[in-house]
Amino acid sequence: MPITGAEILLESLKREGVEVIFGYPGGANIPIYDALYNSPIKHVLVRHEQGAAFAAEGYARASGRVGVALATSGPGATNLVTGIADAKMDGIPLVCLTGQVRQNVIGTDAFQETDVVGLTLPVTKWNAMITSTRNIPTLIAQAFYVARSGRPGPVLIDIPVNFVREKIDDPASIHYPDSVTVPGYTPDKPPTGSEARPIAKLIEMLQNAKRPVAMVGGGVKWAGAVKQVRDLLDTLKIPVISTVHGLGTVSEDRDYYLGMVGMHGTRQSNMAVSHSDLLIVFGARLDDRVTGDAASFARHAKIAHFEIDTAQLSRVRPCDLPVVGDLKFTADEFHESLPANLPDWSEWRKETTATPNPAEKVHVGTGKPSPTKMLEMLFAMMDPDALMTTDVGQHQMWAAQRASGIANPRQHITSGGLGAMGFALPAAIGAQMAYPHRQVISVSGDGGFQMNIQELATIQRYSLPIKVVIIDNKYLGMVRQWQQLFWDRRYSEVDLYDNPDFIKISEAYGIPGVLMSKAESMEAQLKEFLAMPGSATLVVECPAEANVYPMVPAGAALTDMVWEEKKK
Amino acid sequence: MTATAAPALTGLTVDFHNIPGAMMRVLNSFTRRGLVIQAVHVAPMGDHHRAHVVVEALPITMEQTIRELESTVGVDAVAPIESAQIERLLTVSR
Ligand SMILES: Cc1ncc(C[n+]2csc(CCOP(=O)(O)OP(=O)(O)O)c2C)c(N)n1
Repeated sequence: MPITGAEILLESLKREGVEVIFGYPGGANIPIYDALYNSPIKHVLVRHEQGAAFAAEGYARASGRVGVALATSGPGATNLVTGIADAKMDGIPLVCLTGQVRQNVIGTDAFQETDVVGLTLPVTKWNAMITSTRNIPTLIAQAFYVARSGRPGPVLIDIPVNFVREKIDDPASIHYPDSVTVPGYTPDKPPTGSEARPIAKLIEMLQNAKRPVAMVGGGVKWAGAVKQVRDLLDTLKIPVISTVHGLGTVSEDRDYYLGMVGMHGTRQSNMAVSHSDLLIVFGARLDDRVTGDAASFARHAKIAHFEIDTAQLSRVRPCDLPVVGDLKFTADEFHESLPANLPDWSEWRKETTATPNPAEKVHVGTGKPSPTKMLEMLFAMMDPDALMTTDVGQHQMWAAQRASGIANPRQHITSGGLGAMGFALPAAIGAQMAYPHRQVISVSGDGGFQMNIQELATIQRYSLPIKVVIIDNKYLGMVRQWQQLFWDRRYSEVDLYDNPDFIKISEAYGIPGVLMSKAESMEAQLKEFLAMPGSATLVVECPAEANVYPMVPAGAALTDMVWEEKKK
Repeated sequence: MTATAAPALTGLTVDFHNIPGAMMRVLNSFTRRGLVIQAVHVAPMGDHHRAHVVVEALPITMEQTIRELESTVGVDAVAPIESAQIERLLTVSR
């Protein structure tokens, strides 16, 4: 029996362990959909291709496996781009497959033709177009290899429709490689001129350090090095701070753990890193939301940076010692090389916690539910292994500020580097597909929820028991906060006073809703909501002008935290 | 940091495998930073290709570009170009 290019493609995906694809059909990928018709690979029909990319990301972020998205040519492919850029920023393994017009009309501006390889070049780790049916297995294997190795990232394979339609008479002649390489791709190549024995050098730096601090980022979980880094930090017992993607790496009960660092980080974290004389970074890119003003970031510190991708080194602050490699091994090597007589940093540790973090504002007094109190209750009441996705804005930071108690860093899923609104709902779909039996909670603002609201239909179609939380302040809250604090309260185009009735919308999609509008019924309603069978939507009508504090104004030093709005 | 320093004429030699997209990725590492490419010369060299790219840029930008290129799929090696060679590259097609 002959085999089609589309069947070869699906066989190649199966060999990569793909169980689920998030996608949307169209003219240029119909042959692939035809092959999916009787394939064991599950397909989740989203309602917008951006939803497919974010769902594939949610799947990858929750499980650590490669997420797969499928779209047609032209508009289908362009709709994927935000999700691809998001995956590039946060280092998420994705393989995106896009249909393309027939090879012999490429370049003629044919119907639904877009130069997708050109368009996605800067936002993919790698991309390529299929140019022969027989080469599909190799190219797919290379795509997965590049996506999941080194610092993971998105790969896009563009598939002219004639190749997936083509029939090969002799299926046995198709070669599916067991392993592949990509010329010029060495995932953990150290930068030119770097230290030959960085660990020995780091130990020397550590022994001379009076105020060392360790920072954990998302790279720890992606390296599968959570245990190694936890064990190492338990030995080192130096103050530890976390980026948003590192939350849950270090247990909140460790007395050396100071919480999240950066624009909305804890006072103790921001002060500790600002006064440190050695900063050891484990798998974080030192994003400007983490560093604040780069020139004053960890100004007195030497920086040792454990990283797999040289492009992440010295991006905003020169790094003194790169330790390039797989953190699973470099963290262990560091741990095993530690001398027995490490300096005693207990006084420094005490110093970092001597001043308590200022009591947080709970935004009460209006009679409406406080968003921070509600999130605190949600963290306390959710299942211990629940997966939470958050969108972008104030609610995202409020949630991150309360997420340190999670048991595992994969439980907290958010769009960090790109900060893409509309992420939470489709990402929750991906997370639920990865773990059908775990509780999945999506938390959005009223703005971001409306960016991929159509994915309620996907949740309903597959009976996914996702709990959808909307923190409804009737504003594009984070932008309003900036306008309030730094633009003299000139609220320009941030007012969402005429939001639709989210409960009715949810119900129209077949998902019951709960409206929480009073502070006093918060706990009971939250309990009721979490106990509802299947999916449900919770709309939290909170005070309109609650702000996220502390806050480091954009471009300011981490020591210049703001605690409340200036009295007018 | 030399924020006030003026951008100077500088360049990189990039050895890469001519797999799909690699050459565009090499050039994009410069253009994504707002740099205008003044001269570029690419040719095969044994089993790979060698590109010489000349731009006006600050040293810190070039350092970032080198690190990014070193982690770009397809790229083997990156090195700064000597100033005499920059002159030659600028005049090669005259
Ligand atoms: C796709 C996209 N567009 C615009 C922005 C800019 N932005 C960042 S936060 C924010 C407000 C988000 O409002 P909402 O979703 O209601 O959440 P809140 O801040 O109120 O919690 C906006 C518009 C963005 N991050 N992403």
